[in-house]
Amino acid sequence: MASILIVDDSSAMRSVIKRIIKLSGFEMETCVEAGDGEDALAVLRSQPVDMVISDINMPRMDGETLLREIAADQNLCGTPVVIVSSDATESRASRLLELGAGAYLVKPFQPQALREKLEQLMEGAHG
Amino acid sequence: MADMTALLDQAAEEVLENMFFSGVIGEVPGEPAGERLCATVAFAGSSEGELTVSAAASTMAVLAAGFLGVEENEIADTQVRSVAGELANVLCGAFLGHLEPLGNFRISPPRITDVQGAGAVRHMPLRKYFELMEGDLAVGLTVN
Repeated sequence: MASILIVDDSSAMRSVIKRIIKLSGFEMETCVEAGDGEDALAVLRSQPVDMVISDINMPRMDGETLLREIAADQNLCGTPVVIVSSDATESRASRLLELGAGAYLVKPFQPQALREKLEQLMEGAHG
Repeated sequence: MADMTALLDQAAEEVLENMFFSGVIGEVPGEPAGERLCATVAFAGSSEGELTVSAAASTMAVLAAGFLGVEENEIADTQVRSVAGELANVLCGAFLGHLEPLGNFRISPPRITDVQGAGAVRHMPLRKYFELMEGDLAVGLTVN
């Protein structure tokens, strides 16, 4: 069972990602939400989670900066981050994976694809 | 030069099936009429342009219900408008990913408006009026 932080400036998209996780059959213990990278960092520093699922384009702090901040924080740097974005271009995906994202999923995606990524990252984090 | 119409068809089918639990069943002959909810995103980078979607508010509400996994009567107007924006955003991303897989794009936050008929997409070089189970969905695209 995993605790997950979903970061997206669209409340509709946060709801959908939560729904897709449930549809996928992935065992989620708790789910917390944040509307941008700054809120996400505040949540992470007060309430550690097993995994982060984040959008890229958000106000105040975008997903790429959030990824850098997590990587630079010694208390957070082991937290796997899955980037979920409507940006389907390979160059963006490559850059974020190089920066330390554990996975990059392009919207739209199948629930099964998300489940596989989450399970791989959980195994990696705890294996 | 990529067949943009085919790429838009492919992107629409992927997005509607995988995120809205809907699907394209054909094309609507002629232009849609009546009051419609419209969402537009602009993109810049490897290519520049705009993508607009529009549908009757009732159609968009059914799509939003499918997207959020709730009953239609549980959805607020603000959620319907937000989902319309997500539809434009995700459809634009899917189309650009097919058009230029190695490209680099920025997609603007969606602009949501109320429009009459096909006015929002009529001027756009590429227009499709998709027939869905929930009603019709107009999509207009400009790539500069």
